[in-house]
Parts: sequence; C-alpha cells; structure tokens
Amino acid sequence: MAETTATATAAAGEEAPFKMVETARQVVKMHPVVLFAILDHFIHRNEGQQRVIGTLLGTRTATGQLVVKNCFPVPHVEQGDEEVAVGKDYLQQMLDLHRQVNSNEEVLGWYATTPGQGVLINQQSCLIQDFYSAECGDPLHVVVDTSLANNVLGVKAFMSETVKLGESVLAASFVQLKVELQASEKERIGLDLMIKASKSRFDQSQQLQDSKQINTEVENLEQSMTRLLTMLENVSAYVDDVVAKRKTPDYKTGSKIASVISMVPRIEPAVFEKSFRSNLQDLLMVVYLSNLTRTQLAVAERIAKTSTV
Amino acid sequence: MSAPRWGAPAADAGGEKAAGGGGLTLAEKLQGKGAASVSAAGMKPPAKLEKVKVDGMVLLKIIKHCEEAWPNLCKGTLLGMDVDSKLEVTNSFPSPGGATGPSVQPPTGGRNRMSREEEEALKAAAAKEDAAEIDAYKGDVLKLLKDINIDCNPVGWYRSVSLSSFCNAQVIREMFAEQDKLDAAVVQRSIFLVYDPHQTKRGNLYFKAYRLSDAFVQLMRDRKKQSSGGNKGIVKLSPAVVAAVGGLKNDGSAVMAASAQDMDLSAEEILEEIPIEITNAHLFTVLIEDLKERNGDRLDVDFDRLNLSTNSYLETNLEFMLEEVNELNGQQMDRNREQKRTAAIEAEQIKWIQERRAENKAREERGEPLLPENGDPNNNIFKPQNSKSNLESLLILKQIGIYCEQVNKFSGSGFSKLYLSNAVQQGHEAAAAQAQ
Repeated sequence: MAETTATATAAAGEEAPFKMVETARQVVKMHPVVLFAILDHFIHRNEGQQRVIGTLLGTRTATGQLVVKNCFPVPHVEQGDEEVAVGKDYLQQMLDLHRQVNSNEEVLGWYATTPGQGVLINQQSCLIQDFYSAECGDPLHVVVDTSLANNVLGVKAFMSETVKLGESVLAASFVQLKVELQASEKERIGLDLMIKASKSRFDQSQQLQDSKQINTEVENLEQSMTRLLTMLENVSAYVDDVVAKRKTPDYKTGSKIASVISMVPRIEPAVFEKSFRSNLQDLLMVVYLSNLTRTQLAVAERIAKTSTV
Repeated sequence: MSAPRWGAPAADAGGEKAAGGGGLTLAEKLQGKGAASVSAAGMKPPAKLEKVKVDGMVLLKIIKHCEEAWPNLCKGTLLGMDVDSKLEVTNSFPSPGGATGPSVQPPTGGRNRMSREEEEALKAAAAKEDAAEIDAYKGDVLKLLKDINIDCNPVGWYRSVSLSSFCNAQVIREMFAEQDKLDAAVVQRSIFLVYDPHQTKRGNLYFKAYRLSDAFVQLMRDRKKQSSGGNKGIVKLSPAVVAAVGGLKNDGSAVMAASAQDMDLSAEEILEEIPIEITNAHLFTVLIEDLKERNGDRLDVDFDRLNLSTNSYLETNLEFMLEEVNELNGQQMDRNREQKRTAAIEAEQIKWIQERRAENKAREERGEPLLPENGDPNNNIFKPQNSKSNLESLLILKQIGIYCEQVNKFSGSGFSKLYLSNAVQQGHEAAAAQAQ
C-alpha cells in the first residue's frame, strides 16, 4: 500500500498541551459491536506495538447526539513523542468500501487503546485528534483501557476543545463525555449468548470450556422458567421470613412485591378457561397439521424417487 | 472441491475443462472420472466438519449488518481458520448489495410458470454481474484487512433469511457456486451461516451453519458438466430401455445410471447442519463482565421469552407452508405428465431397436454390413429429452420439512408457556379463594 503519511508536529510548545476536564455534559451512545471490534483489533496488533487506533463510524442526530455504530482499524506508527504517521490512504480506501455497504454512517472520530498503564491520552493523541478534525469536524475520541488498570476495562469518550490565547493555539483540552451502551433487542440476544459463553468458561466443573452452543428454544424457555421460579421462591422465602418475624420488614421491598403481584391480571376463571382452551386447541391443530404435512412429505419423497429411477 | 469421492485436484481440473470446452467426449469424461476415483483413494479425504466456532464479535457484526438491511436481505463474507474437525470463524465483513431470495412477504399465489422462468433467467444474469462486482469488493477488503493482521482467509459466507425460507433453487444455486469456489480455492470445508431476523426475537437466536452435502455438490457438478458438455452425437438410452431390449453396450447408459444413482438423494440429505459454538476471546470476557456489571438487568433477555403471543408467527409460518405445498402439488402434476411422455418415447425407442435388430438379422443373412443398434442420433425419438430436474421438488420438500420443524418447535414451547400461565392463573384463583 502506498502510504501517504500525514505527519503533524505539536502545535504548542514543550509543555504538556492538554488537561483533562471531567464533565458529563453530553452522552455518547455506543453499540456493543464497536467495543468488541476495538478489542479484536487490539488482540491482533503488531508485536511490540503499544496501542492501536481506528476510525469510528456512526450517526450524528440533529441535536448533536452521537451514536457510534461501527468502526474499522487504521494502521499507524508512533515515533518518539512528536511524530505520528497515520495511514491516510488506508483510511480513505476503507471508508470508501464501507460507504458501499452502509452510506448512512459518517466518520465520527477515532478510537485508541491506552498507550500505557494508567495513561489515557498522551502527546500523540493530540496529533491524531488534530488529524481527525480534518476528516470530520469536532472528532470524538474513545479510549478503551486495555491496560486493565484497577481491574476494569474502562471505556471513556472525549471531545477536544482548543484553548486559544488570541490567535495562537495553546493547547487542546479533552472533555470527557458519558458513554452509554445502546443495544437493540437482537443485539441483546447476541450479547446474552456471549455472556453465557463466558459463564461456561468459569463453570464449577474443572474442565475449562471456552464456547457455548446455541440453545434451542425449549432449552431457553426452561432456563427462563427456572429463573422465574427461583425468583418467586426467593420472594416467598423473604415474605415468609417477614411474616414469621425472622426478618425486619422493609417497606420499599414490600411495596415492590405488592405492585408486582397486582400486575398479574385478574381474569375471570371462566374467561381464562375459554381463552386457554381455544389457544390450546389452536396449537394442537397446528401441530396436527404440521405432522400431517410431514407424513405427506415422506410419501411425496418416495414418489419423487421412484419416478426418477 | 470438497467431495472425498473426487479428491484429487488434477481430476477436478479435468472436469473444469469439460465444463469450459464443451467438446469433450463421454469416454474422456469417464476416463477422468476413473482417474479421479483412483487418486482419491490414495489421498486422505479431509476430516468431517464437526462444529463451527463463531467468535462473539462475528455474531454481533452479522446481527448488526442484517438488522440494518432488514427487510432487505443481505450477505457477507466470513473469515477464519480451518482447524482439525472444526472451523473457526474469527471475523466477517458485509458485502454491498442485497442477497437474493424471497422477501418478508409470502410469495403471491397463481404465478405464471413461464414468466417465472424468464424472470429467473433475468435475475441470474443480474446476479452474475453483481457477483463480479462483489468479488472485486471482497478482494479490496481482504487486501486492506491483511495489512492489519486480520485472518484474511475466507471460510464461508453468511446471509440473512426470512423465516428460514432459503430452500429454493436460486439460493441453493448461489450456495453451490460459493461453496464450490471457496472449497476449491481456500478451505476444503467452507460453510454458510444463516441469520433470521424474523425469528430472532424474545430472547431466542436463530443462527445456523450449513453446508451443502458432498453428495449434493457432486450431483450439481455432474449436472453442470452434462449441460455444458452437450453430448453431441451420442445417444443416451434410459436404463429402462436398455433393460427392456437387453444386450446393448452403451456408454450413455452407464452415465444415465450413474446420474440416476446420484439423484437418489433424499430431501434431508441436501444440507448438512453443523453445530455452532460461540466463543469469546479472553479480553472479550473481561469486557462482558464489565458490561454486565454496569448494565445489569438491561441486558437480561431471560424474561422476554415468556411472551405468550404466538399467533402471528404461526400464521406466517403456516401461510408459507401452504404456498410451498401448492408448489409441490404443481410439481408433482408436472412430473406425472412427464413420466407419461417419457414412457411413450421409451416404448418407441424399444420398437425402433427391435426393428433395427430384425433388419440387422436380415442383413447378416444377406452378408451386408450391419447397422448400429444403439439408436440414431438424427431420429427425433432419440434426441435427448431435457427432463426436468427433480432438484426443485427436493428443495420444496426440504423447505416444507423446515417449516414443519419450526411449527413443531414453536408450538412445543407454546404449550409450555400456556400451561405456565394456567398455573399462574390457578394459583391466583386459589389465593383469591383463600382471601375470601
């Protein structure tokens, strides 16, 4: 790839040209797939490479709300403190290819993993931020803390503001934004499966599993019902304890339980019976039909076979 | 190139030549086939694919792509590695343009057969153009992904389907083309994943991995060769005719018998389903734990599954099923007509051969040279009949089978839910009675 390097040097002097201001005036919505893709990029980094960067794609609503939906990696090289080379050609080509699939997503900013233990933003970050402000006005910068400091994998978002004195730019100040996970129903189902997969890794059984089969619907239902049952048992155990004066009653919990119970609709037994029966009959009829069809299929297959031989 | 039966690349190259050149004689083809089976015996066939390990990120990527394209269907490429008995899918990227196939609405009834075929031809032509474009796109993406250390090894493709209605000739042909290409080029065991946005809801995921079975791929390859090979000047006699007159030595009959044997394929054997496992990289596990801690109940889908409404899903499913059954009925009627026609032609052929034999006998007595007994390529009754393939009816069978399975599964959990609600209601009534 013909690498056109966009090299920029720090605009300001030797002094650290940024400060961090912790305010949460704006919320950035993030789809889970972006986070996983960033981590995947980090896992596939070059040997010896400290951090990886890439472009964030998504939408910007009229009110300025940022929704990060997608991302792709961009190769870059950091030399010393003052120089960063970003694969501009690469970025452009990848962007063109992305646009062919999804034309709604625009460049929102860039992501990076942490350059070192406990450091979120460094000198080079300003340079790259500078570079991205040419790609999109007011770039968003998302840092994923892969150094796992404090045992968390933190995700932080920043926007930069330039600090000016007269005409000369003195520094870039990164303002932190609040990151919120946004997952559609389908994405939650996918995530749920991933959660289950990571659970099975830590199963009580000694053998380490690292994967999970997709459950069938009935298995899933069983799981849901078991969970419902345990929850009900918990609640009734609590109520029993309170009634038997083993536990001091908590009025908040009590009113919550009452409101949940009142949510069970009161249906006249006769009405319920009727709808239950009709539903049951519908289902039975459908199953009968489908079994009948299956029998017919077996016959049809025989016919198809004998007619060809 | 997947079939263990065919194994050796050299033999397959021969097959390709036959498909391209078109002028290869049957004898040469048969020789090729013989050579293939010999060398295939020498080569160890690739181990059977036992499971597919899909990275959680890939799952999310596919969901994202398919959901955004919905209600249009879409497809994309899977990247990964082929390790022993499993295939690891570690990344994926979408392809531009949609995927072919029926959309959300059930097909309208009473279609005109002719116009449908024309339509399909048009679609096929358009698909060919698209395919070239998509190939170029894929190449570009792969080149770029290579630069950032991503496994750029295509191991299959994914597509979205609506209510699992992917068993039609067009989609299968597309699958065949892709699988053929991928199997020959990169991995021996490419797969395709289907994701159904229509059925992925209320806490259940519809995500399946399939592979066209080796036997089926073989059948499609043979047909491709036969249709492009042309077989000019060679008369093919059906086994029935050969059996009726007896004592004929005919290359054609051997081929016919072979292909009839291949046709002996049940609907269940077209597709192989391969179990999927979802895996997470270690860092992903950390992220998931983190997300769980911070989002807690918002990610919980366990109780979405207790939704009681079943009707709309079953209704659509039955509607689709009805449509397919109608189609199958039409196919069977066609087949009956065709069978009658074939029987008539075969009777004529037998008559012709018997007459010719009698004539040859007379000639032998007179000492004249004998005439060929195997049929006359210029005679109309020996013109190859373009018999309709039973592929389509096989696919319809498979499709109806899938619908039935879906209905049964769905109503199975429907029963459970119904009885659950019954229990809740009874508990409620009992409590009310007690209170009084």
